[in-house]
Amino acid sequence: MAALIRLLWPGGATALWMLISASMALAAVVLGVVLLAVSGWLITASALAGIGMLAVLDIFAPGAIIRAAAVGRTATRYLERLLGHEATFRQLTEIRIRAFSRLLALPIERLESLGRGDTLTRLTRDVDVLDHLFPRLVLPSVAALGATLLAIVVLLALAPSAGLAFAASLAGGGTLVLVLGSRMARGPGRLLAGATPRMRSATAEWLQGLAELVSVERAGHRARGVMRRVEDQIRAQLAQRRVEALMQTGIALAGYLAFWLVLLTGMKLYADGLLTAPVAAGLALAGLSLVDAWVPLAASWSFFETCRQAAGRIDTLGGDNPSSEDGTIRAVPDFSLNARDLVFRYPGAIDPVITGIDLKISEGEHVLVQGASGAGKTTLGKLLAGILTPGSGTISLGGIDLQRLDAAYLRGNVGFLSQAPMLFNDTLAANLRLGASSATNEQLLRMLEVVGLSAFVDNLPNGLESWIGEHGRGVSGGEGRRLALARLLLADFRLLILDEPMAGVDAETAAGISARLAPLLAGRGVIVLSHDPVVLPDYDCRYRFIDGRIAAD
Amino acid sequence: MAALSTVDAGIVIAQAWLIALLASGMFIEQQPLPALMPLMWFLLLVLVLRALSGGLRQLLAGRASAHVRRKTRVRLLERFEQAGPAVLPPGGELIAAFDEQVEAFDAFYSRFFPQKVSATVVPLVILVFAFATDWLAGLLLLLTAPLIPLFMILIGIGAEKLAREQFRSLARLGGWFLDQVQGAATIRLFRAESGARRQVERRTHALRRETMRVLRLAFLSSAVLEFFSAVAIASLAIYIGLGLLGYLTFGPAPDLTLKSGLFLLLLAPEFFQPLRALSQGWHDRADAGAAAGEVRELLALPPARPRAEEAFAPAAPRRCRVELRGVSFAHPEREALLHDLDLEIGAGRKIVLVGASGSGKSSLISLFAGFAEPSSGEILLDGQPLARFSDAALRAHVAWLGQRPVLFAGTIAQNIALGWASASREQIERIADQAGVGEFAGRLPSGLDSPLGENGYGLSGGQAQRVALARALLRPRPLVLLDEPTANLDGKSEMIVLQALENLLSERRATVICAAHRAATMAWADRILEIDRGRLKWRR
Repeated sequence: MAALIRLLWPGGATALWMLISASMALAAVVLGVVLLAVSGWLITASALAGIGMLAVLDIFAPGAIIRAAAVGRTATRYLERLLGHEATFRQLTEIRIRAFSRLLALPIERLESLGRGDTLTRLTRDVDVLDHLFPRLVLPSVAALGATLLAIVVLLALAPSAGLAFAASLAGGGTLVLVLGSRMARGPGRLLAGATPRMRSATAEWLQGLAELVSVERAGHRARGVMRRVEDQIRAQLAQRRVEALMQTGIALAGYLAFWLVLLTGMKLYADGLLTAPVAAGLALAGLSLVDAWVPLAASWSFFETCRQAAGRIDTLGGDNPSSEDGTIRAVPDFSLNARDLVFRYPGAIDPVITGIDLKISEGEHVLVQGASGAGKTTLGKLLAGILTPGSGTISLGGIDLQRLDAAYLRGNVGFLSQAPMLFNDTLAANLRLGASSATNEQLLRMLEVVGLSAFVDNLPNGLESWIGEHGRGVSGGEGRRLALARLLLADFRLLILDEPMAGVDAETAAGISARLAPLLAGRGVIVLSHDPVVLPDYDCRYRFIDGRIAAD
Repeated sequence: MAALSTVDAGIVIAQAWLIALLASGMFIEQQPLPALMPLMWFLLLVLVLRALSGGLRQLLAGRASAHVRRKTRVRLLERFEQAGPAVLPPGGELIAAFDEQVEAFDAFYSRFFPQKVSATVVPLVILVFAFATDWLAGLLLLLTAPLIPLFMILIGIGAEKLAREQFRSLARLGGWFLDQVQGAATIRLFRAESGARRQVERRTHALRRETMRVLRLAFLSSAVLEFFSAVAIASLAIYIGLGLLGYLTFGPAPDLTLKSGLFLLLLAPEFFQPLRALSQGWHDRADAGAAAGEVRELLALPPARPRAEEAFAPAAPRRCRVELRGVSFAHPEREALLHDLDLEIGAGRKIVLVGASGSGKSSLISLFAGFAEPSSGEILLDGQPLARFSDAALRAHVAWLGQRPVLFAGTIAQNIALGWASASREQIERIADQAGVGEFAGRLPSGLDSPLGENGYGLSGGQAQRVALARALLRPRPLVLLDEPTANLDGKSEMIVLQALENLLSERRATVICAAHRAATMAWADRILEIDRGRLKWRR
């Protein structure tokens, strides 16, 4: 619940829109009730006047109220929907920014491992769920509850006993059903929250291994295992449905009982001469039409549990205290890198990937670490960039341990080119400016020339402003890596760690890039991790990576 | 569902009638309250029934929806299996179809469909009673809702457009946000957090402005419905009021009583309620429609082997002769990869298939494995056409190992045993040793029974490939197909896997076809076959 409030608490402007749309929703319900109640009053009064039981009847005032209520209800409903959407959209921005900020506070390595699984997709889906909390739950609840309170006040003034019965049954009973119901929905909701990812991962495993399963004739057998996960999911869902049906029945019972009680007390008061017939009829109809505002709340409130869980998941995304280990030092005497006795083993792995590495790179030196793919060079790169923390051994930048450095300072000075760099679905320029927001178009084009992509950008329909990625032109693996290299070079890092920068680039192009790269890199420290030596024309030092160790070449 | 809606309509009518009867009895006929109490109890019963029927409808709809989704998922899995690994689109898309898109059916079956049935049945029944009571009032209802089907179309056009627009803009935002979220690591690497946050803000605000412009108009269509229903109730009330006062002298108006008047007034909101619910639930239909389209496409995937015969099951020999006769192959809508290949591989021969990447090595292996069909020509195993083999017979002939081993949650031994359910523990241990699994499993506390996967041990690529190799070769098959088994391994792991292959294959009598990027390291091979620009030639 606290998580829900933290994520959804509206900012000033949003709160205002919410308030306005909620009052419109309330007005719409009230006008609907007025429409039916005054109609009931009018018909009863007319019937009595028609047979002479009522002497004088002013038909114009109630007629005008009825017409006004009819038009007013239409208008307020329209405004409710429109303003409600405005408020929802504003909140949607806030929710996204909060969830995103939470994500951005996580360590890079954790973000990468989250990206490999389903978690990030699930995060966006959870955020989508929260978008619906206001229009689906808050708006109708406020309207129903507000209109009911108003009705209670009116009833208490006109017929106190009817008012009390109504308050107890609808406001009391209905609220009780909602509270109990949403509590009951917790169990099935939790089951469902666990069952759905289990179903997905069983399906993913089955699909991934399909070739092997088919070849050993176990695909059908394993598919039954997947279907068992589907059954678990459906069972949890049906349990949730049962609670929802129960809630709906409970609310309807409370509502209809409230109406019945108002009708009964109204008739009794009429028989005792305390209430006129038209007023008694009008009150009863008001009660009846309020029930319609309550019944949909059952679905809204069983949805509450879904929202609560979604918020909880977003809230606990980082685990406990994600960045507590960050250091605070924001300056180093120089950008030499010194690694000693590095050992690293991935959690759960049988053997360590890095078994004992010592490496010293003075400021501005260019170093090559050559080794076969899959041997662990990437791991070494991530350790040196401070993305992974070594199991034992130390890495220091300018003599200061990486862990004592402020994380933002480290990131601002040490750049890492990943083997599978991420390009955003955005314009080429926006992608390139990620680390250099003030770079001019000329600078971008010059850098694209360095990485041999001048022809690439010339062939794009809108040059630098063309979209790349999913919504635009597809980018091949080699092009993507070169774009990422350009992006990295634009940002002003003092030390660069390049992981297979030329993979997927043909030798001739690579040699060209290599020649143009050299002057740009002068004075900056560079560590190249590659199976292929042709990345830079010259190195100060060459190492070979074998069996988790490196040796000078 | 229709029966339940008819019952619902009956309850609605009974409820209105009872209330009208009570009001008339009390206010017009001036009966004492105790005399009316039986009617009151009866009304309470009807109201309770109404509450129960609402819950029951929801339960039934939930079941129906569960049934449809379960059936669809079973069919999807069957289809995926038949289409096979070579034909299927990427995994993420399939999982999305299997989970989210099938899930989108739920809103249709458990919300939209019942709403639609009750929007058809309930207003019709009410209309019949309204006409029977007072044809002018009935006409009024009918005119304000100008023929229900027409009304539905009106809802459809407006609501559909609205739903589509909303759905599209949210989907676009969702996709874009997912992109940002997935790029969070990159954003941090470039220390671009605050810029990215500003972007999120700018984008969502822009989307809001753009969408609201559309919604302003689109919401009007539901306002029209809202307006009709409110105006109908209002004019009905005024008509009845005037009729009761005796101001109206035409048609059935003079015969109106409090009973019939109140009855009609109470029916009016019930007449419009299901229509309003339907218009608000229209997006459920739109979502489900889009999802159903994609699921249908997957269900229409062609099977990998269309001509297999259940009864055609030649017994598997110890080794088998393999022939290609005029075999060509092309991926759908692409240029032919293999051209008119003829080839004979003698029983028990061990062949290494080499060629540049993309030359069709994997495709040829897939054809032998029955993951795909040649576009023309045929493959024969011991003289029998492979296309006719029953699935079981084909699997009894062929063992297959791919480039990227997939291990399942479970122990190492369980993963190996997947290759042959009836293998004994000794057989599993022996093959594990031969495949070099024993070497690393021996260093784990529970040996072969150590768990793998999320809560277990993680294996390196080479280790996983050795487990997969043991699994593929556990059960003796006359034809062993290996699709670049060392393609994704570093030098040392490659050597270990090649050694394992050597151990396993040199003493086997099976026919072996192994695709490889380097033939030199496969000493057990008899001959080397090269594939170049879609044609085969023997190199040794």
